[in-house]
Amino acid sequence: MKRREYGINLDDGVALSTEEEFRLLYVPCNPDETARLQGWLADDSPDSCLLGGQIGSGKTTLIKEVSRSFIDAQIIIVRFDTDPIEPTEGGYCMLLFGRILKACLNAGVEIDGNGIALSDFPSLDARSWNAFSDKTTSWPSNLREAERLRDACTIMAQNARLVRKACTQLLDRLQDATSRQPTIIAEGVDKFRPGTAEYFSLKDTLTFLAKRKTLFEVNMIHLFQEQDFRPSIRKLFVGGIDEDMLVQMLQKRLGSYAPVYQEAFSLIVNYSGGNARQALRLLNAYYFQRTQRKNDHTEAIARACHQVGKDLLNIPFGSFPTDIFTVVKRDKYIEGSLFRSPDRKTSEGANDAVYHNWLFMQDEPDPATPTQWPAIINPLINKAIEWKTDAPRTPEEEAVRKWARDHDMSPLGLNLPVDDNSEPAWGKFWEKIESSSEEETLNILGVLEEIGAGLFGLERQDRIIITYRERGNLEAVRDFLIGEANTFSHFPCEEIALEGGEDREPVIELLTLLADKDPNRIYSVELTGKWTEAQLRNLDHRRDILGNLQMLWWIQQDDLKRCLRFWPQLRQFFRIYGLEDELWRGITMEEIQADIEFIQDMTEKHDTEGVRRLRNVLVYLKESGCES
Amino acid sequence: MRVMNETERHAIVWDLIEQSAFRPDKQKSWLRCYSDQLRHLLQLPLVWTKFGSQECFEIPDLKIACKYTIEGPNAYVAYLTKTEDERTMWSVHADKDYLSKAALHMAGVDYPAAEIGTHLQSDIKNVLEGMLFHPRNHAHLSAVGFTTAGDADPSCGMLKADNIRVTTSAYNGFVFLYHLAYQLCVVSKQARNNEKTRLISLFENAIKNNDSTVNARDLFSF
Repeated sequence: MKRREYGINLDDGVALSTEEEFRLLYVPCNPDETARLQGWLADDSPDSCLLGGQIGSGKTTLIKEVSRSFIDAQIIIVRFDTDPIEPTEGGYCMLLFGRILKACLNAGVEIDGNGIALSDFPSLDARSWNAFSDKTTSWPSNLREAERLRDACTIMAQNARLVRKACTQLLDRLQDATSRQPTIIAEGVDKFRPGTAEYFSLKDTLTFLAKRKTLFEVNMIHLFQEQDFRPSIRKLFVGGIDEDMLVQMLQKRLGSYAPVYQEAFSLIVNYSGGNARQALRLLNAYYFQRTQRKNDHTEAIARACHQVGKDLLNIPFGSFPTDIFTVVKRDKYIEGSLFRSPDRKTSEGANDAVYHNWLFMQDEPDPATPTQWPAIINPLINKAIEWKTDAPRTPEEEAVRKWARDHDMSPLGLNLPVDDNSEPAWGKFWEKIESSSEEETLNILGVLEEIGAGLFGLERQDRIIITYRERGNLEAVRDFLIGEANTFSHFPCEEIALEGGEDREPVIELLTLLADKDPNRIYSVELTGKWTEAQLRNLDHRRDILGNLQMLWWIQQDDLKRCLRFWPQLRQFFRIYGLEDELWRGITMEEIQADIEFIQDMTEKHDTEGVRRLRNVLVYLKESGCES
Repeated sequence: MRVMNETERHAIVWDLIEQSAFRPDKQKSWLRCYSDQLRHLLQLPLVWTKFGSQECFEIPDLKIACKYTIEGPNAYVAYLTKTEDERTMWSVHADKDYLSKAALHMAGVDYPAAEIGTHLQSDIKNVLEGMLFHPRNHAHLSAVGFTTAGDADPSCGMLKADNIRVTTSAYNGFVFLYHLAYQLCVVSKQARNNEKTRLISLFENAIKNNDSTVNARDLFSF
């Protein structure tokens, strides 16, 4: 993304990646972990290490920041979330072997005699190891190629032990050639929730890598699953970010304009719970409410909390670990043993609460109480509950709650009563949460205002989900949005239809279509069909391939509710808006005609993509007679 | 042949710049482009907005609003309002039915070819200073009680309101709007310098190439 040197740089909390982004926006939030990670990378010990933190805590940015200083260190990066052709043992083995192979080829290491031969994988039709490594580490460009890769995956899975042995051979040879332990960074393990089939398929690969010098990017809950890696593996924990660091982060995002919005910093920091992405999403939403909606500070905070809570937090009725909440609220810590409790309900509840960011783990335990992990309830949930035992609130916070209460806005301001035991009345809480999670709907102009900042510039690449009740003529809506984007700059649009269901391959189709990604393009993706749970989870793992793409996703509103249950990761990179039935209210044909003329004036061409799309809208409005 | 003096060259350059960029044939498109690109210069997130010949736009990040009506290059009305208290700080009314000395001038001759290599760039710089960046006749918004974040907290990098110089002598409404965008660019001194450099280069190329029109897309390619 192109960033503004002195002004405002908002986004939905994607990891920093470019030199420019680090120079302008990086805040050293975790100096101790950074130093320890640098030390680990610099030493030549073969120890592996888990880098664990919750969703949005800044793990990926931290890894990128540290590995930037070790560019020449021959680091082998394996992205288990985004890069395998399929989420199976064969897929993971093939990716790992391909990456190690590539590093060996770069270092001039002899490849033959590793136990695997090119002829073992006839479907790949690779004439050289170079071709083999290219094919196994890049996405297929068509479905036929994907099928060949999957055939190879099947062979890999049948010979997984042999493949891992070959990996050992190659890593040893690489070590001899470079006189140094090869370092592997296993990115994206955090996207795999323990207990799922995909994680089970990955386990043997993780155990294998844990014997080498490997850094694993994992979720907080994986830190309690060391048996999946190796006993007593070294652990680094990325916890809650200090308030002053979060304030610095907000200031950097607002550039010279920071003082204009500083009155919001303390509440945004407070409601972020120390989570970087939650803070950035709150800032983004607050800024929109202040500048576009012209809401005052109090209303803007309440609405921002509502929007971010709705977008980020998956709160399914009935499976919420209320007893764990009550204990964490009381004790301000969570017992580490709960994550491995023999009582399945307890362990699932604890893992759910942390994996979904309902609870935030703040810090490592004090040595005096080594099992007690300081934790808080995510403030966006906590504020919804009227805890009798709470300390008095500040007048500012009270004002926000009052505004939300008066406007029936969840999750803030619900003010549920507590029962006789000072515990919240959960039943009522659920009724309200469920009813308030109904989508608020917008007409097409409302959608345009909400998503315009991302759609019109190269400074942002936002991902938006637009839901609809009846499909109607979505093509006209899409053409209108893309056409309007083209009044700002030339944005070609790629239309993608992904149909899920048994015997369908929607994720592989998406990979083939994104094999040649273009950040200057708008991708319009329509999800249809009955996606299976495995397909939805597979898409969830791939979240990071979408990080720098500008996307509009279209999903029927009831389908989305089902999807979101499987998308704790994917939803982090999206904002969700619903289309109302009176879609075209406020749009006139004269304005669209003026937009067409404007594009023609600016481009001095009469048939650009923007013109074509807006003409389609004109035809649709004329035929349907739905102009306001 | 008589060598032109600096004042004569400046008059020609002023005329060429104004004619090529600030007397647009397609006024609606010029204003649309202005609205699309204004926030680029101020380094703010983009919004969906379309300015027309009569508009009121607000920059919440500076707590300022501008209301204008523009009938053509020679006739416009503009007001600047402080949004915190909705107080009008400044207004200007250019009435095309009455004369001003500046509006009488039409150079009508080309820039001397012999001076292109030696003086053109500095002439453009001087003209743009007077036309847009630092108009000779101006009011500091600080003098009418306007402040920026830079006044309260200089460490934030924003320029103080003292640096916002609103012209009191622009007879051309398009010049006024452009100069206003530049003056409201208080995000940093460097951002202003970058814009100066870009415009000087843009007009230098246009004059060297004898381009009679600098289109809005290029003009607003902040």
